[in-house]
Amino acid sequence: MLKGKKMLALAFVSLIITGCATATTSTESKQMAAKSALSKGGSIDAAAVKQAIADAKAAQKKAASVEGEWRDVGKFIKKAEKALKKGDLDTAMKLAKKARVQSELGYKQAMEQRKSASMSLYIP
Amino acid sequence: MMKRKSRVLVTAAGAAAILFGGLVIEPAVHNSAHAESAADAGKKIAFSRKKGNCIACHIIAGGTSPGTIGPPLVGMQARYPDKSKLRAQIWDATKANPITMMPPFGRHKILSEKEIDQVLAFIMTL
Amino acid sequence: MRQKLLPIITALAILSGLPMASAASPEQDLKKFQNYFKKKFPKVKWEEFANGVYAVDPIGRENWEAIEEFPPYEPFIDEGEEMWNKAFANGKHYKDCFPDGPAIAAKYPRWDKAKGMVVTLPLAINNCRKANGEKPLKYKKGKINSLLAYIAFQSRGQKTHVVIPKDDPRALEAYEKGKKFYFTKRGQLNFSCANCHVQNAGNKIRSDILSPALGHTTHWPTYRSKWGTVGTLHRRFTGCNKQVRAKPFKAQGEQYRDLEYFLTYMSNGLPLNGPGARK
Ligand code: HEC
Ligand code: HEC
Repeated sequence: MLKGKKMLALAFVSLIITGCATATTSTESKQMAAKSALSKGGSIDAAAVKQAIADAKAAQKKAASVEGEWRDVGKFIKKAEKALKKGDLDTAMKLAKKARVQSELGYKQAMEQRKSASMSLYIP
Repeated sequence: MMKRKSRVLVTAAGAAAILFGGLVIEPAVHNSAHAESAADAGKKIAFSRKKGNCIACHIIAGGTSPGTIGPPLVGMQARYPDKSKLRAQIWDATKANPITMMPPFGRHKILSEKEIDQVLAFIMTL
Repeated sequence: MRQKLLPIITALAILSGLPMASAASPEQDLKKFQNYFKKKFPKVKWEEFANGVYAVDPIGRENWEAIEEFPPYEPFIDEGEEMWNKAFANGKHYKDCFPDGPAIAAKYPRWDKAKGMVVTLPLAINNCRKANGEKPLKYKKGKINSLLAYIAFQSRGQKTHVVIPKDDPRALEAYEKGKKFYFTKRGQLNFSCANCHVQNAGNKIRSDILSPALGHTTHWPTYRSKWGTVGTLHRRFTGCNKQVRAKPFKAQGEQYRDLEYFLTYMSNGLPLNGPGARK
């Protein structure tokens, strides 16, 4: 029973965290707020992109530390870095964010599975 | 969230329009045309390997070489009068069954919220 | 359907949520695991599980039997034999590392108490090479597969009998880690190995029939038409991790070695029939 309740609560929390797009806690959002001096054409400044890539890398490392990294995160980060170099800041930002969000999801998945994964769920 | 609510309302309005005969034909027609294009987009997603790939596990009318892992997707409208329940199954099937094979399309951002609405529109036609 | 499923699932969640769940011994796991597949496929004869998907896919089987008439892995066995017999630069041979060789496949994977780790056959081969001043071989593709193919062929008919020694708790730990790995959902698509090869063994995913986990380890290396060559078990693990959109682990790293330890133990009693051929 307790377990069920706990799971519901967890699921609810996860809904809040992942459901509502970007309104998350990370330092990145603060960074963004401070630096969201949107340059011409509504694009983002390079410092913010660099920060977003750094955040993505940190999140990737954290996910990997619990064996929870997803397949394409590394690729997204590499592509983000390339786009940044080329000055395509919007693309770079999008990719960096995607890499961070996927890393956070992978971390959460791994932590949750550490608790719940078990042979007896599949073979009672 | 807001968007979904308003859409349900619109559908309800459409249903009401049908129920009440030709009184408000204009918005009803508009609405069904809109729903159809969403359903078309949803169909593509459901059959695409890179996207929803629902066909990998479900028998779906109009799809070829379906998988046999999940139940056939039929009679959705009748079986899910509450559309939000159906959406919840697509958004995160692990809620109903933690070891389900069905991927959590919304929770893991495999599909965008818009794409999920399109797939939903499509399977409601089944 | 849903209504019937839900109470069962809830019951399962409650049952398995108890902390005792993981206290089952390997022997108990083994019985449960093998019985599960025997029950799921009552018509499949025991030794047939060593044939993977072809034990449960009659149409694919016809094709496979035709392929086995002219086995695509044969040239690799021959090349492996040459490798086995050729002296290292220091004049020594593989035989000096493996006095019982070449038919040694059933000895692996095994717990190495001194090293405190699971040693697989590919790892043992490279340990031998390094000890003799030779460069290690790659673990997924390439020459190692030829040597493994020769050893596998020579070992045909031996039975899988992985031992989890009771005198070293670290062995049980490695086994438990491998087991946990197998039932852990991974990647963006959120599949565990067990989702496909236990829960849905025999089902079709798109047009592929999923093979039962029982028998997964009997026939390596395997010639895959898709690869166009022979590849190792850890190469296959890599592919199965990637397709769920999880980052794969290192071939012969701890995760995959522990996984192999668990998975091979689960097939204890099945005959070795490598090298294999698969789609
Ligand atoms: C990897 C396999 C898999 C994929 C891909 C998959 N599903 Fe499922 N689905 C299942 C399984 C298994 C069930 C049975 C219930 C459960 O275990 O969650 C299910 C159940 C459902 C149900 C409830 C069916 C009922 O009869 O009540 C719906 C609706 C559904 N899936 C829709 C979808 C849609 C839409 C997609 C594509 C976006 C999709 N599924 C992709 C495996 C899958
Ligand atoms: C999405 C489903 C899926 C998942 C998840 C999956 N596999 Fe597979 N696996 C396949 C398919 C498809 C094949 C090829 C057909 C077959 O033999 O089932 C395969 C083949 C294999 C084989 C070769 C079987 C043989 O007879 O040669 C092994 C070994 C294997 N998988 C291990 C694993 C392991 C270990 C995991 C978890 C890391 C895993 N698989 C996860 C789908 C999956």
